[in-house]
Amino acid sequence: MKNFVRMSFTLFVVCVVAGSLLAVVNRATKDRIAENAIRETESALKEVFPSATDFREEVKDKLWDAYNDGEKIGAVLKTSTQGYGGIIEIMLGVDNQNRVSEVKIVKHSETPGLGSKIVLDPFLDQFKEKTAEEIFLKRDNPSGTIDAITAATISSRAVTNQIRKALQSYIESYIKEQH
Amino acid sequence: MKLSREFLKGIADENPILVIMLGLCPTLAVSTTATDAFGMGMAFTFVLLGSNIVISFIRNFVPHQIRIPVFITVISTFVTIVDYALKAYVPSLSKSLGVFVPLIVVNCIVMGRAEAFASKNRPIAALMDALGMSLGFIIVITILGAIREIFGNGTVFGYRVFPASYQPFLIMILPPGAFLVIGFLIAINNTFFRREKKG
Repeated sequence: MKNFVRMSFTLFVVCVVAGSLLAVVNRATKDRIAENAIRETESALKEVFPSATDFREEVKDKLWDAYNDGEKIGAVLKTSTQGYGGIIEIMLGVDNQNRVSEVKIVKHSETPGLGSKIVLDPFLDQFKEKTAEEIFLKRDNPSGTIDAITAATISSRAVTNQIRKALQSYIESYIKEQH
Repeated sequence: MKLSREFLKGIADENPILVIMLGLCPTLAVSTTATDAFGMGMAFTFVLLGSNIVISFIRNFVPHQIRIPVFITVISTFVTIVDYALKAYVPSLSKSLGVFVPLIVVNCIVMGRAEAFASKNRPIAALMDALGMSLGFIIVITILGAIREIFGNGTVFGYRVFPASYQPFLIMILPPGAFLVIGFLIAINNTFFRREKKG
């Protein structure tokens, strides 16, 4: 019995000390971590819509409206899909003509050297100024204009199809809003 | 017991990766670039130093039956501190190391040193042990990361060493490359650096 009390007490003391220490560290770093997250989102928004000066979050972590001098010039969508190696998170800018402005891969775990090329400009630049109807892989659809990356068709297809879906659902909900 | 011996043993004779062969999972997983590998080495060093010293100080108060939960609490406290600090001050490194920072909690080297050394020795010896083991870990993981980055990507610490026309040897940054290089490193250590164990 004595042993039991001593064990519980020791563990209790260790946990209290550890807990208080972590509380202090959390307090010291919390603001900075939150700030970093905001800064990261802002720079990502700026990257996919360079001509916009101001962004307003419409749907939390999913949809932002892009403004330039108070005038709405488009939107930024964030969407995700299953790739070859895991979830791929994509951000894309959409202008007022419902064309893609820029695309950025926020997060992915595709194979290094093969699928990981989806983050590079030669692939992503293909989406610039395309409408939803053009965003297919060339090999999947005759109206497609996107070249898949060699040896990474699954990753390329996942990104391409998800960009089209996100764009289409944005256009649908946007047009509904207008009526 | 000589303190210099406690320090030096971690580098070649009892190198945590090449001889004891613990903690291979994070070692192989984050060594795709020299920068990530070195960052992992530094995070690991902080945790091992902290946990070894604290565990050595409290070793006489902790009843034998509950030593494992106590060790885990101490280790995970230091890991959480590192995790928060990286997120706050080096977000890019924190992002590329990803889940492997929190996973230092279950890194067998940290647990192994706590159980095999720190819980049986004076704090000063535990400190030297942690320093030596960490240095051994940093050296090996950074060499591993550098070799894999050079051949797999043509760069080291982000600087290009091979011309841009270099066709990367992809297997080196994929998991098989990690096993291949670590095999060679173990062979080199056994042949040239590790002294024969007596008895």
